[in-house]
Amino acid sequence: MLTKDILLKRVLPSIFVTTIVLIIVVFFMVKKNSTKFHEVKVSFNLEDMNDHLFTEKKLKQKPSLLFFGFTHCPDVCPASLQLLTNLIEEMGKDAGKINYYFFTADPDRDTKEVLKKYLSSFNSKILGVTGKKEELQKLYQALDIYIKKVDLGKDNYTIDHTASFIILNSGSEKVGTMIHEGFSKLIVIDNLGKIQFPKEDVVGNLKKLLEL
Amino acid sequence: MKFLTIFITFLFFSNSSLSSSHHSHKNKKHEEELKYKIGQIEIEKPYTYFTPNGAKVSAGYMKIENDSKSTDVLKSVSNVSFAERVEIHEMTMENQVMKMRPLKNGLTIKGDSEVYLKPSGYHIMFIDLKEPVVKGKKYKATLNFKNAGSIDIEFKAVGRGYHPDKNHHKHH
Repeated sequence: MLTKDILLKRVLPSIFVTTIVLIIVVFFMVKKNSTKFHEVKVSFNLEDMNDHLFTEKKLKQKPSLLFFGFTHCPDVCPASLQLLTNLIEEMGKDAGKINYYFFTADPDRDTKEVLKKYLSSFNSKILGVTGKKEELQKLYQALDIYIKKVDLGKDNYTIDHTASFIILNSGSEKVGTMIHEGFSKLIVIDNLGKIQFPKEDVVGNLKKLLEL
Repeated sequence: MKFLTIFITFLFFSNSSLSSSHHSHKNKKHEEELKYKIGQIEIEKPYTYFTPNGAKVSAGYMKIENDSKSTDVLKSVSNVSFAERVEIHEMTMENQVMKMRPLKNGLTIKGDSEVYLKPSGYHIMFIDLKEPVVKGKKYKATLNFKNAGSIDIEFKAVGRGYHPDKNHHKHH
């Protein structure tokens, strides 16, 4: 009788509580693992504005910052390129630890020559990349970039496109994004909460995220 | 220091919105020049960014204030010598996706209100540029309103760091 009483009043509740705690711990461990950066697995054949072949291997040399836009974009693309130019300058001697890419969302109009001319107005570290539509499509999909051509009539069109920067580490893993705040600032967003600095410290957060 | 700047900015804007009918008289001369008025419509500080090399498009921005009781519409923009075509556009950003659409029926400015044309919102789109937009130069255009009529203005070409509100306080 006594042992049964102890079992009911003491042992069973403690087993119950321990089980609940374990379930919670396991849940968070699994959750953390599931949001772990995953490598962007894609292969493509593109060309950079300096006539060099550009494949997925380029995304594994160093961490990279990627932007997708087009030169017929009046607003967000030049603004983004200017913000990126400012960021590269702020990075100072660490700027060379990252590769900076501008992938066109409009390969029909943005040839290598067009990109080279356009990007000459921004920091020289920004490399323009173009190529066949189908090859670019592979990259858009792999990185979850939304690109849609919209007909505006009179032989004119525009392109709806994701306007955030993609941050890849040197293992080609998507570790975060950089978004616009009011077109005048960038903010680093990551998935694992590695960021420690205030959002104004874009350089600090970027370096922390990429372990530079 | 930063707090002080924000506070002064706040004071300035709260003050200017409360006394919009008076503040135009108080402004310094160089600010007067950036204002245009036709009927009850007031245009403030039209600007455009100088273009990257080889750019085929650019955008113009300004503030439009409608002091009348009734709605007016910016129907079109004409007499632009540096572009083949001009349209009035709206941009929206949803889930980090940027979308741009022409406003086919023009831009509506309700009575007793103001509309800002600014990056990431409304803009005048200059399409197929005939020449690059050069920093410091001014570019003529005519704004055609449904009720107020047409008015000639000049867009001032500025660098990307420029922001019309910031300019009051010389942050940069």
